[in-house]
Amino acid sequence: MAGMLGDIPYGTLDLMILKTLQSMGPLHGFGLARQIEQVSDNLLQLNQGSVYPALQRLVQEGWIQSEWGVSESNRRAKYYSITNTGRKQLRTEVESWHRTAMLVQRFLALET
Amino acid sequence: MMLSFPMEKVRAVFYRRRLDAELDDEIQAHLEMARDEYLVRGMSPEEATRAARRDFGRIERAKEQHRDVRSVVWVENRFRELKFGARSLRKRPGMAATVVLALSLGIGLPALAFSLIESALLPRLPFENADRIMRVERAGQTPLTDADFAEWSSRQRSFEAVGAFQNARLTLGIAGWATEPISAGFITPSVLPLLAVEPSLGRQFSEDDASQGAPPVVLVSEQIWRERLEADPGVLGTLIRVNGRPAQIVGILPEGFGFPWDQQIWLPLRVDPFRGQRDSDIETSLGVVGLLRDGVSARSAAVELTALTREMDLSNLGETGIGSQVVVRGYTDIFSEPGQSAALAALLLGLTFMVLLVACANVANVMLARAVARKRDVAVRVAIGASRLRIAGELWAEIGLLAAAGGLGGSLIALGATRVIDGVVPPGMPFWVDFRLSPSLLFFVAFVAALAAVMAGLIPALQASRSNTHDLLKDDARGASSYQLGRVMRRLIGVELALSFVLLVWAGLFIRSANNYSQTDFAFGPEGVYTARISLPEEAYAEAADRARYAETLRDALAAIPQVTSAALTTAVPGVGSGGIASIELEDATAAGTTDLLRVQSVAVTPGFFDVFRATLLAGRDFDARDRAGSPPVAIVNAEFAERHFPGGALDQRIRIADPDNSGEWLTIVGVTPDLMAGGLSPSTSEAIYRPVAQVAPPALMIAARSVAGFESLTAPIRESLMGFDPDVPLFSVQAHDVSIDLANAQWKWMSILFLICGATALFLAALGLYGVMSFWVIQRTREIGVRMALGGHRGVIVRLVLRQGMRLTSLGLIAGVLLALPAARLLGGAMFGVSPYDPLVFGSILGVLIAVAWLGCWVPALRATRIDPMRALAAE
Repeated sequence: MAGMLGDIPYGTLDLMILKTLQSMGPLHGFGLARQIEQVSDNLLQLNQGSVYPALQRLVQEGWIQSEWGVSESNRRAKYYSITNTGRKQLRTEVESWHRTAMLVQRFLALET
Repeated sequence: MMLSFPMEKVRAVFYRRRLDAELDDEIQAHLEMARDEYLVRGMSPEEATRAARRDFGRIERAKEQHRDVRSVVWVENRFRELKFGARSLRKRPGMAATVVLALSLGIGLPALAFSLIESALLPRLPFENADRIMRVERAGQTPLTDADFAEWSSRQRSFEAVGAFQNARLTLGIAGWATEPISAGFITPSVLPLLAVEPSLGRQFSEDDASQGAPPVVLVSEQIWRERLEADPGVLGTLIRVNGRPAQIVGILPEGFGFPWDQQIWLPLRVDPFRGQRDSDIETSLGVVGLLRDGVSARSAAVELTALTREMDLSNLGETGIGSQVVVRGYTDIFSEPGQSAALAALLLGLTFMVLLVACANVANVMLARAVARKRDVAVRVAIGASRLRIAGELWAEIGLLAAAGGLGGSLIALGATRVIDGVVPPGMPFWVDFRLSPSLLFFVAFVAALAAVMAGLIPALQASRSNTHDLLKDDARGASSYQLGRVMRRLIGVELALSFVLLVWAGLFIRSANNYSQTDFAFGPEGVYTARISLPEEAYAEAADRARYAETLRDALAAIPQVTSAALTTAVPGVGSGGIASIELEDATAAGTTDLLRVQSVAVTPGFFDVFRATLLAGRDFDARDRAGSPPVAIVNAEFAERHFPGGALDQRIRIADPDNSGEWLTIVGVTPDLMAGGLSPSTSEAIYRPVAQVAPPALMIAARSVAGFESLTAPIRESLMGFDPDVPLFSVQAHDVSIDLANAQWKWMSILFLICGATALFLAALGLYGVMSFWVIQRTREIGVRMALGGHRGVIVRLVLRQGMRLTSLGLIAGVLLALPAARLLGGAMFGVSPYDPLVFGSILGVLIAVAWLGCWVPALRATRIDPMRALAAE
């Protein structure tokens, strides 16, 4: 079963996290992971644990920030939210993603 | 990867524990929330927990990655390795202590050498522009005249300023204190500005102070001002007596100033170009100091002055000689040969680094032994995925920790030894020598410790990277790989023994030199001879006739002392120092037009001198009452001079002291004496002439008296007879002559101590290493030995087995040692005194000592081997 699901394309997890945080507002790690899974509609095999190193990296880049808070179910959890530099970064990444996608599409459109 | 927030990453290294805990909390919350969700969907609690975990993936992996992102992994890993290393060292305290001891000794000796070099050998003058302050002199210890200095200072271009100085021992009389001898410096008024030294009180010398007939003035050191003059700020203008003559204090020179050497008072030096060669003894030859112009090298200054001097000598003497060469070198470069202090510094560092090398070989061996002992452990870890880098990292971490501890130990050793040396420094050191640990020593120690770590770690690290996991995992009590390790270890021991051997041979040669010297039959029997210096006040004894009369009366008074069997006055005593160098010419050669200036030791003596030193003249007669001022001038020459220049017999031949106007009187040779080492130990020339004090009338003399009574009972009567006819003549440096000889011998003693310390340390380390390797060998063969014992092998057989192995190792090192030591011993060559570099006694005894020590090193492991219990040895596998 799992074999049919794709791994996360390289370098796209950051983009997914930033975009999710931008549109959903502050989320904790579990919420974020679930959100990504739902949006990807299970096309994606996500080890939920792997969002944490990615989150850490984004915090260090200064694109997101973290804060301890309380979850809906009354648990202590760390909430992540996107920063202004994060928004800027997201815009550049989205642009570059579109360019890449367009480029690939043109090649695929070539007559065989 | 971009490091946008490196500080945060570095911080993460230190807050690792807290950050880990935070991550744990976060993951915990995540799992619980996931579980809650599954519970809501109707799963059982167990299923929910499992599902939550499954979704999360491998928790440890996430943590690991989190950490990698979070902090500077490299630093964190090194931290972990250091911790690991410290833990594993704590488990083997004996091993760690041995290695730290070895490294402490290995690092401590170079550190000590460094601090000695810095303070004594290559010191900086405590002055501004210290690197431009130069000593200027004629080559070959040729005396410098006032005329030379006057010419130099008016014509030279290389120096901003030049100054002249003379050292003298004078007496200092301050009201309320006993008159006593003191080292004084005569300096031209240019000297203090040149050195940029300001009096802390009062003024320096003006040109007027140095002019003829100026009222006598004196500068005194801050020490005298504090100790003798109650640090009175109103002291300027006070009269003190210098050599019995009143002089007015015009200034106090600051603490720590002792130019030219260790002077305490200073008088203005008047340079009189019309005065010929200063006629007295070594203490009064003229010294010159100069401040090089910015950008001018000592070499080019020497070239300029040499050109000047050759021109000068050509017009004055009609020729140039070795003394026309001018040498310019750093003021603190005090050895007779330029560059000798650098050479000595290199020697010190070289020697101590050899000890360091031995220590590192030792440590490498211990590490190798450890690696072998742990190889299975390591192999298992490699097999389950630990990277080789990680294993090597742990090795380096261990060595790094050990080297750091060794550096600390080494610093303590250097510190302690420097304290000790500071306590035993003989008086009379130059003022710039200051035995103190400096901050630069710390850098040096850090450097040496790092070097030691690399040297000690390189071979074990290479070995570790080479060994094959698969081979190691096989059962291999005596497999190929362990044989390979054994070979490296054997070679290291060989190197240790060979280096120790070389160091000890050097030490042995110096010890033999010192020994030979003190046992030499000097042809002058120094035992029972007492010497003292007197110096005639310049004013009261301006006339040569007065000085000659004084000497004659004093000699008679001395000879009249009941304990004294013979007495004489002289300008130099055999074996110690020099009476001065003179250029002389031979009458025959001059007549034949083949004049050649000969440089000889020139000594003035009274009749009885040769009796005091038990020298029987080889030909002719001693000086006697006939040889007085005005009577035909005479000389006695030593055998070497006579043989070289008058092979047909020296008696009645004539020689004279060379001077510019060829006006000197011819001296008739009346006697030939055996060689009495008139120039001291290593004279620039060992040809010597002696002239009667009555005809030379030197202002400074030494008393030499042979006495049946001891030193103490002689001092008082000599002082008394001296005071009897002139209380103003000071007596100083009263000494038993064999003591002076021993002092002169000190260079070999110091050298032998130095080499012995290095050699003994190296030997100790080599023995320690041998002991370690043999112990290791025994442990490796526990099973084999156990089997032998179980089969009824004798204890003796076992002991022999171990000893044979150990001695095989030793002989390897000794053969290498001898091969290395033979050329190494030749390096000392000229520094020896009466010893062949291949002295069989030295080589033989050191071979013996090394074998004995090596035997001991193997003996203990051998005994341990015999205590192996066969049952346990076999069961252990």
